[in-house]
Amino acid sequence: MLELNQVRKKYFGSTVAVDDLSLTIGPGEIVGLFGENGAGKTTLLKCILGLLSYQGQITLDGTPVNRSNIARLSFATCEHSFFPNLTAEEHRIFLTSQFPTFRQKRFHALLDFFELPAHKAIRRFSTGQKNQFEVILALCQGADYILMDEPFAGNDIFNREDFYKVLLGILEPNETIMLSTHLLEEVQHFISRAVLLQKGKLVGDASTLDLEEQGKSLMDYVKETYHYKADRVSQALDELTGKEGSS
Amino acid sequence: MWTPERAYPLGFPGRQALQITLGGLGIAFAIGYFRFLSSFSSAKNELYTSVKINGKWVPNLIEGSVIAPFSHLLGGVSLGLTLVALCLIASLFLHYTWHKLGSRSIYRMKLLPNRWELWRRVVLIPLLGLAACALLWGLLLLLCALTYRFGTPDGHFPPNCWGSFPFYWIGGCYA
Repeated sequence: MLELNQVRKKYFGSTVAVDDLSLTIGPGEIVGLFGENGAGKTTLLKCILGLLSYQGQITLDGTPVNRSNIARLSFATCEHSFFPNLTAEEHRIFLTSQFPTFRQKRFHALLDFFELPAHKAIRRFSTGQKNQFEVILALCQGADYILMDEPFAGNDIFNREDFYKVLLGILEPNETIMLSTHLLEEVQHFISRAVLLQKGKLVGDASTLDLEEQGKSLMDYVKETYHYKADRVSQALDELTGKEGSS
Repeated sequence: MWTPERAYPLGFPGRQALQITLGGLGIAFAIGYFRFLSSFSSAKNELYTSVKINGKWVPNLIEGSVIAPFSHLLGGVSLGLTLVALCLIASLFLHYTWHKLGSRSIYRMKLLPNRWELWRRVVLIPLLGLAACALLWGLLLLLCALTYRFGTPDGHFPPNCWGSFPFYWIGGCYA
């Protein structure tokens, strides 16, 4: 169980990026983390991983996240955290030496599925391939909680679809995914829970099952939570084109 | 099997870097010693005058002449090693920054269960290099002192020939 209790992060001389956020994520959940740019999604993930200092408590099965349990968390980021000069095979060798639970079979299977070369430096991969490899590393570390921050930025739609399907197929019941993305409609059938952030605050938290029962789509829920004004665009266009705007 | 790459950041050209470091240390040592030899031979030449014997010029020790104190001959001897030491300190920053070039592999390193893996790869070689610099600097001074002690004719040492250097244990002053 990953528990966040009144987590607060304020950047030096800046606004509050994460504001008294409390959240509990259980094993096996696939959580979509949504919010506009600057909502605090990346900051929150980095706080969970201990890459940023914060106020409040973040615990993993009751123990603060530290070196003793950090291997239970893995991270895939759009900034990429692989070693560009190493090959996929060299990554496997290094990570196996660091993580005894590294999933070698899954690693090879995913490399084969995405047709990624094992003996080519990652810097020579295309952007899409780099993203795929970044996610593969996070999935194969042997972590229980896999945190992903916009992992598919730059991948085409078919590629992303493939990934969602593969993910659903390979995840074991104890593996938890926390996925930060803007691709709401794409992931709505893949996630089991949606967490919505706005200006660092938790503004929405719903399971997709509950939403289905209420007859709401994820997009409806998000629009409702963010008080999206459907006529905003037509109003703006009317103003721009000089027509009388409706109030 | 140990390879130089294991002591450097992942993906860093460790073998070449190690060769450059070792080469730099060797060259700095050699340059230091040659600088001393140059100063020492000039100082030693001043002890001699040339006299013509049987039509040939031969060097002849000037009675009462003394060689310059040891410390006066050390100008620039440690310059090369100092430069190598500065480069090694700069390499600390390079090794850390390496994890932010082309990707943010610094995240992966910081998320390893072994907290020392990142720092081992960042600081090990620069620290060993700095230790080697200090050791070579000591060896260089010793070699220079021995050259001074045994290369200077007895009776031509100045009073307090070792200057402020603590080399009395080598053999004392023969002035």
